[in-house]
Amino acid sequence: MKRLDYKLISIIIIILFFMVICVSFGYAALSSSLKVSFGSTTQIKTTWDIGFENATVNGVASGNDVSKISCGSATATSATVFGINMTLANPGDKCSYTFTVVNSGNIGAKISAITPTKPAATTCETLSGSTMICGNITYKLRYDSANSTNLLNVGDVLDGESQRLVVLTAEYSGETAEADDFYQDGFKFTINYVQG
Amino acid sequence: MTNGRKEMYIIIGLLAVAVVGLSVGYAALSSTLETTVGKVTQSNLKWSIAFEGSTASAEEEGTSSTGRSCGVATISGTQVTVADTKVSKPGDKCTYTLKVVNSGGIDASLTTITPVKPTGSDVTCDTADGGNMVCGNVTYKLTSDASGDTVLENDTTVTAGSGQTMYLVVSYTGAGLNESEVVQTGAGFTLVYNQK
Repeated sequence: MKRLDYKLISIIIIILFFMVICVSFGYAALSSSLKVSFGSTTQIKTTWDIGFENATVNGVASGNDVSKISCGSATATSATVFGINMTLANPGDKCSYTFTVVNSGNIGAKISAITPTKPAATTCETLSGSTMICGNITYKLRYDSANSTNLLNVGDVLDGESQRLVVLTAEYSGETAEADDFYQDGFKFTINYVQG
Repeated sequence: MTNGRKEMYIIIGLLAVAVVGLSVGYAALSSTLETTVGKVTQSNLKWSIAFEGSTASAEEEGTSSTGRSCGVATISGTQVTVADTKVSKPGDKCTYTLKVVNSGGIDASLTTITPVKPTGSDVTCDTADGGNMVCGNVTYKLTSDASGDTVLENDTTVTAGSGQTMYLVVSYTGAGLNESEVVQTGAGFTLVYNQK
């Protein structure tokens, strides 16, 4: 009788245990937890630094008679080139100034705009990007050399930690010489670089 | 002997209380409506919610690749883990297309999305809400659109036999650049789907 009682009680205990587990499991079963994770996200050190290489650049004259051409010199600081004074007298006379644009950062840069500003009180037939034609004088921004046809354009990329030569030219492109002295003052090109 | 029996009775009593307690606890917030039907059929239903596939590569966005690399996501059932990733400058972005599939016979509802903040020195998350988390210069998102603009919402249903596409996005959203390397570890999200 005692053995039977103990057996019966043991069975009851087991059944009750089972019921407790089933109740818990039954409520937890219809739920799922999904996980997304990144092992690591790294941000490296990045720098943005683009500008002209500091320098004083002598203009280079070319034409039929270079003795009659005066190109002077130009000063380049990080964001500006200034101080250019030149004399061009005859068709074909040209002055060129070579600068270095340096991207010292590790982020590539891209030209987003090139804005020509015409000389004061001067009519310019062409005023577009790297080219400005104002009367007898044509101004251009080129890559690499004074005779290069490779002009600076919007979208040009300068990789991080690299540099490139940029040449400003002013050429007497008219067909006849002026009878009197004629001045064009205050021309410039503005180059905007953005992350590229 | 008598004491032994007493103890057994106590255990039985406690178990019985546990079963009743669990049932009552779950039953307290429910109402019982009685209807009488001629026949009740119980279909053999399955509950199964998991990510589809085994790997996912990212769509990369940004300018130059300097400081950007998108790790491959490894998918295994309820877990997605993205290998080491780099985003270092404005515009850098990695977007992973993921799909949750309900291959069971019971409709499921996305009930909660919980962000998991990354660890790392000086990492603070100004925003950590649902599927959107901003930690320093990096933003983590779970979105419903590929462009990464619309944060995934709770209470969306995944019916039996269908799937839910979502996008895991990590991007550099800071305005400036880091002066030194920053590493964030373990950022992520936990999604809980419950029976609908």
